This record gives sequence, structure tokens and C-alpha cells, in this order.
Amino acid sequence: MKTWLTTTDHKRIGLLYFWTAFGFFLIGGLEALIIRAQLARPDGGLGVSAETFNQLFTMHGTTMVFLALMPLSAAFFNFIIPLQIGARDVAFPRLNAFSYWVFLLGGLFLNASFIAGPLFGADRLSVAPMRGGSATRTSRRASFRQVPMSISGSWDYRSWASHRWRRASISS
Amino acid sequence: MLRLPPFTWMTLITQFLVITAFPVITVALVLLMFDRFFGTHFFVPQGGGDPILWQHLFWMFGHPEVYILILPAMGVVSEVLPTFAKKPLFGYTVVVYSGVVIAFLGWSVWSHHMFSSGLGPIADSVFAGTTMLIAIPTGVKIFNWIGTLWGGQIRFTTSLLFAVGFIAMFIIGGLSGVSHASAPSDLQQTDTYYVVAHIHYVLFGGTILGLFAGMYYWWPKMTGRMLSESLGKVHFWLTLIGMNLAFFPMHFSGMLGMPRRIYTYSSDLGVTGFNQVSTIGAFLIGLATLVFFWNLLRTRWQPVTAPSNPWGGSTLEWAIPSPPPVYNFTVIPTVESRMPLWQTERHAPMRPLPERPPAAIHVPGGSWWPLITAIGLPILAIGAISRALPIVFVGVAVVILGIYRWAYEPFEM
Repeated sequence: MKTWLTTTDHKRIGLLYFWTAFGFFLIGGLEALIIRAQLARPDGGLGVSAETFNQLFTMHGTTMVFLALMPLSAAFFNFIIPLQIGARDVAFPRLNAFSYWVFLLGGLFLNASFIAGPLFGADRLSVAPMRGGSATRTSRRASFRQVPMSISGSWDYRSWASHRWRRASISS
Repeated sequence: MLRLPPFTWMTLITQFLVITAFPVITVALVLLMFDRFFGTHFFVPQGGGDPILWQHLFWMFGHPEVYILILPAMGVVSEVLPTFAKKPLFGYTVVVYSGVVIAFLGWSVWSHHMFSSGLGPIADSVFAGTTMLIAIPTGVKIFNWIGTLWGGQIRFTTSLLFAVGFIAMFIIGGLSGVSHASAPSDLQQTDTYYVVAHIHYVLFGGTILGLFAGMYYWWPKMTGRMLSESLGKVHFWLTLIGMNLAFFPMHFSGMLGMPRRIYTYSSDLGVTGFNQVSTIGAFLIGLATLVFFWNLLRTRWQPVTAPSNPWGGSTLEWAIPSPPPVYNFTVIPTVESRMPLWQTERHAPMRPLPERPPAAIHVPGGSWWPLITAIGLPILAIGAISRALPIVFVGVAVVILGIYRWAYEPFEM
């Protein structure tokens, strides 16, 4: 277990990305199924409230794009790229590991809003200031989306840095 | 550089997009958080701000983001097709350059997400033009993939099926995308289910099918076990049928006026039937995903017996055992050819690498500091959201301490 928490091996980090991303893919998929069940009939198939529905499609989109698709790609970047270029690992293995943990923690934080949101007495989970007025309302649940977006977005900087690999192996 | 595998190239291009696009969303989110936490008015009209600013910032990120999402999957397809057609990637150089052009042009199209925001006819026309332009390098890639398959000795493995599925579904998604490129046409389509159809064809039919192709292709290399081909084919067909049932009707419900993001709709709209079909398709996709999940899980109970090159691939990852040893290569190979493991016109296949490394290879051990530093960030976030400054400081302290200890971590002996 400890070796998984402290690993800097690109192959292990790739597998960590894969399973975590797949888990989020299943969660995003569940959100999609609830949406589709609700929309199967005109006047509310499942009796989902407007507010819950807003949260569902917001989370479905955010989860799928940022917590499933991009990290699934990152799983392959991590595992395969060093192998394709004949390298022993990426240029900055610890930064690579840091990226993964930031992704995992950001993703958990984002999904925690489902549980913790009511604790903060939050209201509508907003996507963006579409109509200008909502930005001033102290909607904590909305912050749950925006703050972790910054956190889990930062992992991408690291994944770029890790691609400054040594190309010594390719004769030119 | 032009000996790099296409997946490596697409990833490299993607990372340039990442490093330039993510700062834009970071700025946008910081400004938004200032509005929310500290009462500023960047996006609030009553304070002199402008929601259109948010849209520009968001979409300047958002459009490159979709190329970040699709280019890696295109890279995967460019790896899978040559292997299962036993033919080199057709037009390798052009495929690489198209990727660069797509990334570059991707910066010029962002306001096609804002055609209904009142930008004016000149802006609308310019962005409509640039958006149509970007279909060209995409089309180049598609024709090169077809050229790769043409005349090849094709093996219909699950991985190849997903790669071919990618091409077909991405074309459909691209066609609806091109119809969005025309500003007047988009004015009818925007914020309707027609857009939902488009995004799911390119994201699910594109990225996800491409990534599934990659999973079936590289799973033996990553785990040393083969996925079941029969379960894989079930997964593929259920997914293909499910996604078309789910998303094709959305073109129609969108054109009939069904808006996005609604939780009920009137039966008078005439889209009930389309929605029902979509729901069936969605559940089929769910079932297909469970089949896939089962396929993944059952490999855990298999012995680690996959060969180093089960598919006869041409690139370096297939030259080492599956899964690779911790040091990857016993000897760093010298690469003369774009397809090192294949016999080509100019090059013989690479000689096999030695089984044992000639000298002991030192591999870095693990480190706790990446994890510890990472933990500081959610602590900071919790403090920010609950408006508790002490917790914010604790989070910042953990991050700074983590970075300090990380930087001064002693080398192992």
C-alpha cells in the first residue's frame, strides 16, 4: 500500500490514473442515467426536482470532461509515452506523482459537494454567471465547483512539465 | 523528431495546448472567485462588469480544451490502425502537421460558442470562417486513416473495431459541428439538443471510442494480461448501437426546439419519442460499460502471460516484456526508423534488447512529499469555502512545507 502512495514510477501512476478515471467515468455515467430516466417522459419521468437536475447535468459534464476523459488520456500518456521514446521514466517523476494526487483530491472534493453542500446551506449550483446576478450571492455549493476546478486543473501543468523528456535515445 | 510515434506527437501537441489554455481558465476562475468571495464586479453589470468577459475568457480556454480532449484519441487511432492493417500510417508527416495546424487554428475559433451573445455581424462572420477552416486539417487526418486501412491486411480485433468506430462517429459529430460553424444556422441550434448531439458524438463517439481502442490495445502491455476478445466485441457493438440510439435522435429533438438543461418538457413539443429512444440508448451504454468493467476485472485472476508484442506492433513499447520491468529498457535503444520493430524499405527490424541489463540500473525510490504537498490544497480549499482563514493558512503551510522538503529531499544512495 505504501508503495502505491509514494510511487514515482510512471507505469504505476498511469495505472492509478486509469482506475481513478474509470471510477469517475462510472459516476458521471450514473448521473447521465438519472438524467435520461428523468427525460424519458415529458412531465418528469423520475420526479427529479429542477435544482437536483441542474446539479446532475453540471456534475455529469464536469466529471466526464475533467475527471474521466482527460485523466484516462493521462493514464496512457503516463504509461506509454516513456516506453515509446525509449526512456526510463518521465523527466520529473515526483512532479508527475504530485499531478496525480492533486487530480484525485480535486475530484473527490468536487464530488463531496453532493454531501457537504447541504451542510453549508447552499443553493443553486451555478455553471457560470450566465445572467450576471448570481455571482454576488454567496452560494457555497457553487464554490465547491469553482475552487476544485482550479485545483484539479493545476495537475495539467505538471503533466506538461513531465513531458520535457530526454530524447537522448533517438539518434538524429 | 519525425521518427516519434504518432501518439507521442499528438500528446506533445496536446501539452502545448494545455500549457497555454489552462492559464486562461485559471484567470477566469480567479476573477470569478474574487467576485464570489470578495465582492468584486468583474462579471457583474451592476458594478460595471460584464458577463460577456466571462464568456470570452471561458471559451478561449474551452475551445482549445476540446482539442486537448480529441488529439490524444486521434493519436491512439493513428497507432492502432497501422498495427491491425499491417501497413505504416499513411501520410505520417501530414498527419503530424495537421495535428499542429489543428492546435494552432484552435485558438482562432472561440467565439463560435458566442454566436447568440450579440457580438455583431463582423465578429460572427470572422469566427464562422475560422471555424470552417479548421475542418480542413481534420479532414486530412481522416483521409490518411482511410489510406492506412486501404489495401491493408486487416485483423478485426476489438481495438481496431473501436478505432474504425471512432472514425465513423467522429465524422458524424464533425458534420454537426460544421453546421454549427455557420452563425445563422447556429442561431437555431444553439442551446438546443442539437448541440448535445454534436458534443456527444465527438466526445463519446470520438474521444471515448478512441480511448477504448487504446485500452484494448495497451492493456496487455500495462498489465501482462489479455482482455477477452469476445467480451470486447459485445462491449463494442452494445456501445456503438447504444450511443447511436442515445444521441442520434437528439439532432431531431434539437431541431424541433427542445432546449438544453431542462428537466421537463411539454408533450406538445413532439419530442417525447426521441427522448424515449435516447433513454434506451443510454441504458444500453450503461450495460456495455458493465460488460467492459467485467472484462477488466476478470483479468485480475489471470496469470501474467501476455507476450511482449501480442499484436505485432512496430513501436518501442512492444520491444519489452508485458508488463515492463521497473527500469523499462535493459539498454536504451538507438532508434533509426519510424517503425523500429518492423522490416521497412530502408531499415531492418531493431535487434532484440538484451534480457538482462549489463550493469545494475538505479531506479529512484518513492517519495511521500508529492502526496503531502497535494493534501495541502484541499485543506486550503475547505478553509476558503467555509470562510475560515486559519484553515487556509494551515493548507498553505502544508503546501510550502511539502515543497521545501521535496526540494531538499536527499538522493538515495
